[in-house]
Amino acid sequence: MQDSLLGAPLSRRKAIQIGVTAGAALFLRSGLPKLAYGRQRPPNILFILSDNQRWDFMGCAGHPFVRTPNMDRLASEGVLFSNAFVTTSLCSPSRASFLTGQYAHTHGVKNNTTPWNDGNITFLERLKANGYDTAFIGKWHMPGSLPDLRGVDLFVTFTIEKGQGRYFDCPLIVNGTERPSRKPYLTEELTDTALDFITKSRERPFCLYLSHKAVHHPWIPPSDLTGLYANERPRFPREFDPLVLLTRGHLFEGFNIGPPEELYRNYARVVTALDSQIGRVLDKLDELGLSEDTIVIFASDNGFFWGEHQLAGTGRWAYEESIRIPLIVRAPGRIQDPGRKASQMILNVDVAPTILEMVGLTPPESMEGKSFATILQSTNAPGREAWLYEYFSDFPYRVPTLHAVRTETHVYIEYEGRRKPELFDIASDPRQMKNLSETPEGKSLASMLKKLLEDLRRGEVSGSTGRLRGENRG
Amino acid sequence: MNTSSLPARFIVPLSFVLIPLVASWLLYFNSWRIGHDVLHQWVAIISGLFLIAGLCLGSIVIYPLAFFRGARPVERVIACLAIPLIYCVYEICAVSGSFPPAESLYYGLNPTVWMVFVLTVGLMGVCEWVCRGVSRLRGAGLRVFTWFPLIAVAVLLLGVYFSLIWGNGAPLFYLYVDGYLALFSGV
Repeated sequence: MQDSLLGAPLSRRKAIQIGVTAGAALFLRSGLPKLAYGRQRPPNILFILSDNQRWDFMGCAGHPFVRTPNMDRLASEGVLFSNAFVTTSLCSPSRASFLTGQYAHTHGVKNNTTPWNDGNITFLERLKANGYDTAFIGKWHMPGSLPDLRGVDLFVTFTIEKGQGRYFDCPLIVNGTERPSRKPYLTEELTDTALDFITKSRERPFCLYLSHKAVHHPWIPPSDLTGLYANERPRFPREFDPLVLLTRGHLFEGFNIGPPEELYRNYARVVTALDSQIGRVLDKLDELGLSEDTIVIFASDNGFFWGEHQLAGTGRWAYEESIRIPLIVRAPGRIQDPGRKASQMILNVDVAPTILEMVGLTPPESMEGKSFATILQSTNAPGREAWLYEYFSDFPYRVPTLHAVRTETHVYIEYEGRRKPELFDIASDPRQMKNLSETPEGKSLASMLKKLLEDLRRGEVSGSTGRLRGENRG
Repeated sequence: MNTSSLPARFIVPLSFVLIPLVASWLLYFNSWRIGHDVLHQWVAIISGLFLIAGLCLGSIVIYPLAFFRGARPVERVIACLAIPLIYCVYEICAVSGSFPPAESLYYGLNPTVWMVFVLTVGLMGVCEWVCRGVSRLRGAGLRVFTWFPLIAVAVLLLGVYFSLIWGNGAPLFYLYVDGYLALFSGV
């Protein structure tokens, strides 16, 4: 007897079976967004976050030797944002901003010592409420005890070394219970856990937040990559000298004693190790036939200094090396002209509202970011004109609390304490070497940007759109 | 052994390290102003190495100079500890623009500052043994090995272990941050 619905007689038993199955499916999907981009079923979401990865440490971003074929593949199949930034360049605040779509002054994780507020609502929670299977896998790294993260079916993380984890044999906490790592290398272990989640049979779409320790120090690559890039010679900025890593409090950044060139190569090796694990996830999506239905977003939590401005380590400052991040979105069938670079300024706080909009939900007012889905859909969609950057001092790192406004051409920075304001013309001075704030041409611009910064801090210029009013155009 | 005047037995030995230290500090932190890249690199590396050596190893110079100029033990110790103390005060001043006064003072207890103190103490112990040995060879009736230098060297070894070997120094840093949280944030 044919077991097909087409062209075969339907028995009463079969009809009841089909009716029950269809009813169950309708029930299961009743909470799901009805339409997302004209499709019946909302897409899966895979958000991959690296740690301390500079925006330019990808082949597709023009790095002279680091090999990242899988990040490059994402860029060639999606959109690489060449002007993506974080609103606070520090691990914990930035991570909380990705999750909530809010600034640090709103979600409350102001630095690496202020705890996560359990009242915060993550985009995972919002997706769960709308019928998604959700998982948070990897680095949580926010102060305070681990939360009972609402809206997450699977919460796999680590707390060792203050939540930083370690590259080898890192014990994991799986839904509150500790278990040893199955694979020695953490990036591979987290990827295995992610693959387990992806391959699980399910009726609902999934959202996976995969948050890696890589490429945070101490940059220990897997054994098969220890010789990679051995013949490559890193090019440091001209203001760099080898002792920069040991002075100005940079020892707290975790630099090991050793030649800076080798530390830099290890950083690059860990990027490549991460890339190969991203490749495993992309391959699995292909194998399962899920690639077309899965939006993949890849980003990093903040930038990193390799000697620029005589600084070394995690971003914190409002300079370009710090605030820029890699950000790629691949969304088959949902973006115009895949493989392009988008130059509009987008922020980490924009990711959560973008995800919600792309699955057919309306981002709530409480999210301060703005969805950049329109930029994915149209190459000519406008971006924001200015935005607020903030950093709250993070003991014992000797960077004062600062606020800055970044426009498409300039950055104006104000510090708490004795340090004087800075103004840089990024268009003509991309390395930000010449502070214009005290120059005749800079003074008038600085006063306008100061006013704009005050407006942004007061919320009088929309933080989400960064649309300027009247003479405040920077 | 003759006893020199206080400036000769205390100020001069300290100045032998302090003046080059200040000079190397000025050179290092201003070397980026040199327009020539290669020259900048060399000036930065040489002055930076002098700076770090002066901070960490200054007691190797100060202690024997003071010893052989007849400085009393307490004078030798104070002259040697002056360097890490000045470094500590400098660090506190450097961060006082970023943190409130109490937190800035706590910054002065950070593992890097402690490591400079520990190195200084340990090297004082070693220098005491060496100076006693040299004096004995010169005919002074001194015992070479005594307890206080031994304790100082033990402090150095423990300091090196906890600062550099134990978890590559990370656990000590986390303890320091925990202390900060307990004192200042109530977390």
